[in-house]
Parts: sequence; C-alpha cells; structure tokens
Amino acid sequence: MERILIRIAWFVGLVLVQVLLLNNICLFGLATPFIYIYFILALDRDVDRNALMAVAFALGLLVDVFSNTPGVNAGASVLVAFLRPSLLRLFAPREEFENFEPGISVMGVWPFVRYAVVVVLLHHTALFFLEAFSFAHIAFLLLRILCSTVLTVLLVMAIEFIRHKR
Amino acid sequence: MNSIFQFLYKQLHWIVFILLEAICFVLLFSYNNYQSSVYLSTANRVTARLLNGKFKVTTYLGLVEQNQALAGQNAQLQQRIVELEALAALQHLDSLSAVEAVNRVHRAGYHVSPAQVIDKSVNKVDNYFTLDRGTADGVMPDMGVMGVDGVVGVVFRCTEHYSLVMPLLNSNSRISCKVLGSDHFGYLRWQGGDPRYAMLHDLPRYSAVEPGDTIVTSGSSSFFPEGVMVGTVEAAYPSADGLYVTLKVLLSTQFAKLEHAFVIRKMDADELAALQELLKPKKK
Repeated sequence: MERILIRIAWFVGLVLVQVLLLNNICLFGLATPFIYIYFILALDRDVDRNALMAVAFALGLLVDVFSNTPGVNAGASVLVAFLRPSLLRLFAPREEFENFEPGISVMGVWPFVRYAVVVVLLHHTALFFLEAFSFAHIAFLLLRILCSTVLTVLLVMAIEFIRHKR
Repeated sequence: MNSIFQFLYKQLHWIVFILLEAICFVLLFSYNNYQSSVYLSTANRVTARLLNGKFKVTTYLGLVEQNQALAGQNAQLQQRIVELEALAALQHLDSLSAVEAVNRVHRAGYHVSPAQVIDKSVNKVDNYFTLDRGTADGVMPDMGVMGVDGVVGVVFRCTEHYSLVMPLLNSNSRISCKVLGSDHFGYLRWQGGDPRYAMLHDLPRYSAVEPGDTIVTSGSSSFFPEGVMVGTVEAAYPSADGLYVTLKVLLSTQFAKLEHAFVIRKMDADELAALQELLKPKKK
C-alpha cells in the first residue's frame, strides 16, 4: 500500500515538474528534457507489460494535455513501455527470480546509464518525429533529439544519485 | 477454438500496444479538426487553473520589464491623445460631434479587450498560447490577437473562461500581410526553428521591397484591421519561377517574452459568424 502511494506521488511529481518547469526549457534552442520518462525507467521489472503500457499512455497523455500536443508524448511513452522488458533483459541479464527496480544501486552505474540512454533515445526519437511529422529539417531534428537525450539522461542520473546516495 | 484464445492471450501485449498507438495517432491527427478536443488542451478548466497559478507566480519575475513596456505604451498613447486633441481643435470639432465620430469609428471598426497569456510555448513545431479569457468574456474562435508590439495570432478554441490561441509560431498559421505603403500582399508563415523570424510568401516580384521595410496586416481577413504591425523585412529571396519574392521577416512581437495580449473583435463579426454557421453543413 505504501509503495503504491509512493509511486503515485512520483507520478504526480514528475508530471508537475515536466509541465510547469521543463516544458519551458529549450537550452540553446535545441534541448528540452523529458524527465517524466524516469517513471517508466525505474518501475520494477515484474510489472505486467500491458499494465506498463497503460500507465505510460496515461502519463504521456497527461503531459500532452498540458503541452497541446495530443498523442505525441503518449505515443512515444507507449512505445518505450512496450520495448522496456526486452531492453531490461538485454542490459540487466539477471536470472534471479526476485523482482527489482532498475537503478544504479541494483544494476551498477554504467549498465544503468546504457539502459537509460537507449530508452531515452528511443523515446525522444519517437517523440520528436511524431511532433514534426516530416523529414524536412532532418539535421536540425536529429540534433534536437541528441541534445535532448543528453539533457534528459543527465537529469535521470541526477535523480538516481540523489535517491541512492550512500 | 481454445488454442486461438491461447494464442491471442499470448500476443495480448501486441494487441494492447497497437491499440494504444492507434489511439495516439487518432488524437494526433484529429486535434486540428474537432472542436471537442478542446478538453485535451491547456484551455480546459483543470490544466488552465494550474497554469494560471504558475503564471501568477512567474509573472513577478518579469515585472520590471513588463512595467517598462507598459509605461512605454502609455507614453505612446498619451502622445496620440495629444495629437488627436490638436487635430480636433484644428477641425473645430465640439465635444458632442467628437463623441459621435468616435462612436461611428467604433461601430465600423474593431473592439479591443485585454487578456493575459497564462501559458505558451515557442520551441515546438505547432505552438499554442493560452489566454485567461473565454466565451464568458466575449472571446470567440477566429478572433485576432495582438500584443503590445504587434500581431500575435488568432483565437483557435475557447472554453468558458480560457481560450487557446494559434500564434504565428504554428505551422498551420497563415496571416495575410502587405508591405506598408504598397498594396501588394502575401501570406505570412512560420518555418519552425527560430521564433524571431517568419517568411512572407507569394509577394509579386515587381513590388520593390528593401530590407528594413515595414510589414503590416493587409486587412483582407476579419481577424485583424488593416495596418497592424507584424515586423520588418530582413532579407528578400526570389522564388524558383521568378514570379514571386519571399521575404524573411523579423517579427515585432517577442513571443518568448509575451505576457499581455489584446483580443480584437470585429464589430459585425457576430453577424458574419451567424451567416457562416447557416452555410455550414450540419454535422455532429
């Protein structure tokens, strides 16, 4: 019960930080961080795939409503939620039966960074292409994706280090 | 039969995935078409309340600059009053006929009401602004919106107390503009990227335009009266067929800093809208 409440708090907190703060950031006219994806990154491994996609859809749609981009964030989030179990198996090949929450304390710093970079890169690629919906300014778009990925991963790592500081 | 169900159950995550993505695409493509999607925007009651709260906090941060801008505008208006009073004195207008004249202008012209920009974005392909005025304040879709420095955009959707504006910084936005002092007009469109510049397309080749020339609204649509400031010409490029020129326009409105806006209502717009409503085919 307590765990569920903590998760709801994370959900609401991340959405608020995203829509009130980070949506207004556009560093060098290029990089916009999408930190809400951390919720999907750090959800424990054994969450059912369908439930994960449903949560990702709700999360994305909520951010969409606040940024007038219906379907864009939701679509990108559902995509990474769908791919996450496979990616997690790839980057955290643990045969243990017990459940775990992906994070630097369980996976180690570098494996988690690799996992986060791949998930965030996938999410941002889907997000920016869904938003632009054209290949007209492809170089600019790719640059935006790259810079935003770096910024988001930096923020994700910052949260991780704060949470697991020993 | 049982094996089919088992197969389907095994592939359930694929079905859920495709279903959810399909919903996302429907939302994405229907946003610009259906009025009902206003509830999926920043103009809905809950999101707008939250953003309004944020606006109230962040508005203090830019108070000095905003005050300066408003003071500047006040000074300009003061100047206009002096000029017009001088003009009225010159024409020997008594106060009664002056009132009559103002009323006539008012009847023929446009009504302007102030609003606050409580949420905005400038870094997307399709940006939208949210205003704290809605249908209860007389704001309706397709009304023009201008800022202190010039054109902002057009009201896109309204709820009772909030409205969504499609600014120039939206790939769907087209505004008819002309070069000040000539009657050649074209349409202004934003290319994405830098929020300070937009492109004016389809201006005839023979219209002599030079960098620094002023671009204003043409008045051919009911969104804006003629002659509202849009920006200044930065550069001119001939089109591929040599018949037109495209102008790079430095927009006069600083969208990233915009907080105060004015909604412009054409006085007979209600009648026009009622007429258009009659002509529209009925749909659910």
